[in-house]
Amino acid sequence: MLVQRATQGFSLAEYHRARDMGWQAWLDWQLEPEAIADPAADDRLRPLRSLSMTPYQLAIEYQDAAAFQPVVELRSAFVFRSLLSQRQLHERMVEFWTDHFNTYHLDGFLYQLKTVEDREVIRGHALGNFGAMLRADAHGAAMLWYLDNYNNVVGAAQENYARELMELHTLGVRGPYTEQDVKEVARCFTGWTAVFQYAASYGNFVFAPGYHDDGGKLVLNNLVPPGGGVTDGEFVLDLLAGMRETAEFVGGKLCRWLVGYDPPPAVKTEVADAYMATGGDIKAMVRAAFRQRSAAELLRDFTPKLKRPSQFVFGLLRASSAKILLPNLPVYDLFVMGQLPYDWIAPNGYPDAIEAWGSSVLPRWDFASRLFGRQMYGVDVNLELLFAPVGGLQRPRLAEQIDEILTGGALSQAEFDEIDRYLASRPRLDESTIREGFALAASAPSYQMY
Amino acid sequence: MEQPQERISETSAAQPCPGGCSEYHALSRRGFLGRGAGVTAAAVVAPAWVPRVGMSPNGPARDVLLNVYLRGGMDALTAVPPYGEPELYVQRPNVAVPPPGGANTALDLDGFFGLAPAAAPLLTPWSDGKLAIVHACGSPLGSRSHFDEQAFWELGIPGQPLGTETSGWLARHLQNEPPVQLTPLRAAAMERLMPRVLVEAPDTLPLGEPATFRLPGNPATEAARRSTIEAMYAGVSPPLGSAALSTFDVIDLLATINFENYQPANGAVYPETVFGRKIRNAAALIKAQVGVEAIAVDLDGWDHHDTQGPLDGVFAALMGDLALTLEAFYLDMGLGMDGVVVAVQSEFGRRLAENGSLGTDHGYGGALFVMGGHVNGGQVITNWPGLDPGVLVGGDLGITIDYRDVLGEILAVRMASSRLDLVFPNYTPTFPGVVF
Repeated sequence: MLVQRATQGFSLAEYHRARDMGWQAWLDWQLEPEAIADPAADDRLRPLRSLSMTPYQLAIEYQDAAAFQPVVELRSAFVFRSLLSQRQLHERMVEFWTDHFNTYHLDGFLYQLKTVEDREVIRGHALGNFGAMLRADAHGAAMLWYLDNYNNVVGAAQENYARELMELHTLGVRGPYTEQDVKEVARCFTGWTAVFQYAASYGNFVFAPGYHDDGGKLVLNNLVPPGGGVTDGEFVLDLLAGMRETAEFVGGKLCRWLVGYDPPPAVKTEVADAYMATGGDIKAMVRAAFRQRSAAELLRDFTPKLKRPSQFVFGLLRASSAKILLPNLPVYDLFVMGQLPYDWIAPNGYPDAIEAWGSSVLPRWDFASRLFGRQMYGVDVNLELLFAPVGGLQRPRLAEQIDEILTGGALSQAEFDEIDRYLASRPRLDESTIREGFALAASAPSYQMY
Repeated sequence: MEQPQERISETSAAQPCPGGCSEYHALSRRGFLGRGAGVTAAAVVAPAWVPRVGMSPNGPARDVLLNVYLRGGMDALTAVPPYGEPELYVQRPNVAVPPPGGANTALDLDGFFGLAPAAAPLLTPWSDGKLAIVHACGSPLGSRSHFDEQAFWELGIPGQPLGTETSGWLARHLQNEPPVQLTPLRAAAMERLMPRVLVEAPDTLPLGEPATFRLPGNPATEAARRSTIEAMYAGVSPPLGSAALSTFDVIDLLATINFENYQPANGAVYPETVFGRKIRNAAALIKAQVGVEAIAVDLDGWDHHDTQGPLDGVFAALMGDLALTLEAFYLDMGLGMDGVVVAVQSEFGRRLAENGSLGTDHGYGGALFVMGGHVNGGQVITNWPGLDPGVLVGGDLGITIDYRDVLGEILAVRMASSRLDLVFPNYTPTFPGVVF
């Protein structure tokens, strides 16, 4: 189900739209997010005033007891956009890049600067050019702070950013760099900092020549001549963004995100080729990953993945047309499942791996039960609304209808039979039983996969 | 009705904070209050639940392992400074714990090594001879990458290509040994994600907050819903299938344990931190004697490249949390420590030379803390390589004891492991004498 891979979770409406438009036309449409009107998400984002503020505005507007407000609003925005935005592929890519360029929200200045990073680095380039995103990230105050480069000075360079730049952001840990390269790249980025005072220029990039190591460097066998100043770092970023190994590492990770945990080498090669042919155009990579396939190729390439908590929670809320009166509860449930937005401390981002998430099923059953059981304050699932797209509730076809609404009819036969049997075993198909039926379907093993 | 937002912010704010958060300063000051001197003396009678003593029908008795992982690369040269090495202070003019003498200096351990002042609570088990420190210890590969080194460490296969082994070393130990007793929960992670060390372990779940581990919904239909879910997961491949089926048994099991109102023994007080809460839950689980053989707990946030603060900053705060919590656990267990071993690990130590931002970069050799009733404690166990420039490894403290020597010894001597060759493939541990 390609639609699931390209969105923040299955909804019947999106599925029908993609089916009616045809996959490639739907993809073309989604790949131009600026052209897609987004009133439903916009309405919910409008009251979140911090989202559009500059660092300085954030700093003066939210002080003391209010300091946490931008954090709450950014988490809420993640929920609302994932649920309501028509630009679903864009949101899916935003989540990918958020993990790729992970920073930790509760790291001091990030309370404020994460808002700016999310807006200008991640969302600004999510379907743009990888090199441009890399450069924006390297110059961004959020990353300069989080990986400590703001304090990287001549004579005693510190390697945190230099190492993760190559290991996580570009070449990958198996990439062709040495410990010596880490040290040399760290020297290239000495003097790269930002304003961390609450002044009008708060959060602006600053190159401090006095703290820069102006000697010559050797980076990945490239001579960086002395006296380059800020261009040393720029050179490194361009060098890394242009390397085949970066295309393969980033492209491979993108394939894992969109295609499967272990995609065929040929698919990864196509995506890396697309990167190299276009100089890092992300849309070209996404197109390559999602290119037209025969039914047999689809089955071979798109192997089932476990939904991460975000995909599970957002998918279920989308599929159930849940009305969100407050965004807090879905955020709380993500916390319980271990995926509180922007809360992964280490720079590698939340894992995209079944081993990490696959042993924790109870929080998912719990979420499904409370959602459909109307035990979730601030969230409501209206049955009438839910059954409208399938022609209204027909009790004899209840199991079938539940399957259709939640998955487009993708439950396994055995799961379907179990739910059907459960419903048949109840004295009456009253509302609470119908709601239990939905919760059971959302607790099924196949519903955890996508 | 819950107040979710408050709970999230509280919980999150208590997480370690690499950039330095104000709560840590508060915490580190609190670190020196309320240490119950001599409280252990009160525990003169062995508690009824002591897990080890001759209770296993399946072979030799075994300790419960509390496996603590400090993520981010804990700076062993700050935690356990070799203050007798002048080179330490040459290389670290600003980021070092001063030699013993006066306030906020190293606490002397043996005339050569000291303990960071924030780790003072660890002196309680240390002076009882129940805490050993293994120094210049670690994993030999030396990639200096957090993620590579954590993966190699937890998979137990440093030097072999990643992907050749998918199960954790602790998981393989559990696979190879019969359970101590019939139980649905041989091991647990006090985490929401499964740590790699327990991936593929039999009868093992991440519990998150165990007090809330129960099936929701209408109690009148619970049994029927339960069997429907069970039927749907029957035959589903792991981890989903096995996790789902053991989840129900573990729900029943944990319902018999009162985590919410758990009362630590011997006046022990766990810090009100995320880590404190996890270890408190671990203590409740161990005392319940439900057959748990190992518990994994993480403490993240040790990657102190910047403004490390060994005495009054980020490091001190985090170390204070760790030390206070371990002391509370030690006091809480009392004589029950006889059947428990705690192994505190981190993926690498940090570079000898400080960097230009009052921090330290990724290094090589580190230190392990091992605490338990059968630990050869009160000593720093090491083949100390020294800090002279000629013996450093890429500018870092060397490794003279492989971490698998320590963990292998714990497994073999205290956990009746018969197949270390499967736990640590292609490696034969040399026991350094950490436990007896």
